[in-house]
Amino acid sequence: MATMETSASSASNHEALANSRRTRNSWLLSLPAVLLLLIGASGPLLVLLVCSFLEPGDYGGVIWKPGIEAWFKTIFSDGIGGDAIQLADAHLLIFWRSVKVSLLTVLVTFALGFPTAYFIATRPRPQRTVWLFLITIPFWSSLLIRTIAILEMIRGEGVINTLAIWIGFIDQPMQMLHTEGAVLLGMAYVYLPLMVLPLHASIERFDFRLLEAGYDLYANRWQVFRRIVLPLAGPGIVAGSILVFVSSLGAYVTPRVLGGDESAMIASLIGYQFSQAENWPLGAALAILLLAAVAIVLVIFIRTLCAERADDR
Amino acid sequence: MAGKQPATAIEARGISKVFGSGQNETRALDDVSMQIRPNEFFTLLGPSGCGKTTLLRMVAGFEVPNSGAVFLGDEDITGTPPNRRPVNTVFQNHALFPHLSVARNVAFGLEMLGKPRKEISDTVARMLALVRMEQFANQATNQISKSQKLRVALARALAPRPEALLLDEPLIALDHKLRKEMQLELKRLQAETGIAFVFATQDQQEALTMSDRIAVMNAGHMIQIGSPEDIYSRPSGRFVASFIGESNFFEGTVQSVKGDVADIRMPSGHIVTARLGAAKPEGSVTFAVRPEHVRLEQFGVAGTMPAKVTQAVYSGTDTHCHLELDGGERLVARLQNAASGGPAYDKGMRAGVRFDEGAAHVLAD
Repeated sequence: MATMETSASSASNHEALANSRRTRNSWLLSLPAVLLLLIGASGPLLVLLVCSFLEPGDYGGVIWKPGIEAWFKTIFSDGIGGDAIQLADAHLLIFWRSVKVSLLTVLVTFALGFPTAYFIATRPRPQRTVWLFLITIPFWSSLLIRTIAILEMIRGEGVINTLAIWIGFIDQPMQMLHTEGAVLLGMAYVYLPLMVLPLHASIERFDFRLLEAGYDLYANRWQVFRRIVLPLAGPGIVAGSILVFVSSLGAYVTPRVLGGDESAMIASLIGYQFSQAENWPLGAALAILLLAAVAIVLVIFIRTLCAERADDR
Repeated sequence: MAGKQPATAIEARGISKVFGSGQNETRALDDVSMQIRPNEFFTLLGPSGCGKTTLLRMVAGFEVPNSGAVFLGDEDITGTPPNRRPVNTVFQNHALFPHLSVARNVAFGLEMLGKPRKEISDTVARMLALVRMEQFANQATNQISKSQKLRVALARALAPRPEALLLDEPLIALDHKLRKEMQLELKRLQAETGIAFVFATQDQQEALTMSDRIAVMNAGHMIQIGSPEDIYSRPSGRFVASFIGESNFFEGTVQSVKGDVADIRMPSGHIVTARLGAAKPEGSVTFAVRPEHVRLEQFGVAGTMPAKVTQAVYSGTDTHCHLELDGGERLVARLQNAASGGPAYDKGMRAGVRFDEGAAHVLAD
């Protein structure tokens, strides 16, 4: 008996050892990705952070002289005479527009994406693959080309205006380009798959008999959707919303092409500081602000969602 | 049961349902009727694919019949959606809501009915006590065992106090011991709540022990409805006689009829007296004898049919003796084992076969 116990405990020791080795090894497996993240994300972020606390060079670049002027300028601007301090209206306007358009993009992609994802997830399996494949087709061509195609549709002499005038709906071309609506349209189109794919993934795992249980227990269609479908699709909704919101907030190409200067978003503003305005510290400060804004929104979003789920329980 | 017939809780009248079309057309239900009394444990019994689940789904409102009607009391509810029928279902996989706690699952139906908060919490507490799950109220549904899930599903479906509770093979996922335990539990719940239970199963033993009445179904047809005793000892036909318990079947021709019994001559020449029931008393007929009603005696005893034991299978309480009559008919006798152990008959032995009085029963088909 005693010998048996010893051998059993030595076996379990052996197992524990093997386990710990396995964990160590699997950590090693993730090393390349971790390195890439360090070099690709954390490194540049550090550079940006340092940059934002330096002074701008005359023709771009930075002078190694510490200062917080850049941070000051993200929110305030010098008055015309140089003595009065005002809020930097242009920056705040662009900030606000970016957040607003990004939230709207999330709403629009959710409104369009949920029925789509539901439709796909309820098809027989072989059909599902085809539909998912179709959803990803836009990814095959360059974002710039797709955005320019939208531009071609909505610009002053574009397809829609020409058609509308030819039919006789309108006399004058409508101003669609360089509006927030145009940016919203473009972004909703570009980021729709980012909403549909995670939604589909969570709806596909659904046990549809739960819906029958809901109907059986006196829930109407809306109640089944609100009380069963939505909570169960929760993870997909969170993932899709985060993907779309973060992508929208940092989007550069689409707002640049469809929004122009009139409906510029924050990425354009940052780009502008690094190029034409040749103010790298301000660009860096703005970029870090953008990052912080994204982080804050994410935390709030996840918090409310978790609270709601806890509430349901 | 004597006196006036109580009103029906649920009635299905001439229900037919066809799934698919053209080549793939399958007739799931063919002119099926049943009447379920209030406060009765009614079991739909049949092999898988016999239509019992479809029939339950029709009562619940998930399927609409191609023809026929479903009544709740006197009200025609054939076209009423499930959420407006005071009938609840316990699903085969229990279908508990994974995002809600045990208590919130039980509260769901009451919340949807818009009951006041106080009433909901009182009813939920009462229901959880009824199924003995009080201490699990705040657990997540993935933290409890299979039989506990079934208890929660029962509480959830009973909480709104439906006119009838539909149970779609809810015990199928449980192992033998838990199954026995939950059978008793279901019986107790039915008695305590006084709600009509409509229970679908393919397990004949389950049906016999739990039910007030059993409806035997096969291939979309309602074969026989009756008390467990009716179904077992007076099966209407070959299907019921073989699906519920085991039966020996014999061919024969009617020799003479006396009241509701007939003398039947078997091809081997033996004459057997059999109950007629609803069968027509003429020509060639089939009659059935349960293995436990077959007696073995010494070979050559007067009034017995000479036979040979071809196989003896020991199974604890009983021994199954496979026999061949001298005329060629084969049959099985189930003999209770004596306290002293071993089977009294073994392969190759000769014996005299006799049927218990009233054991032979002529089938209608």
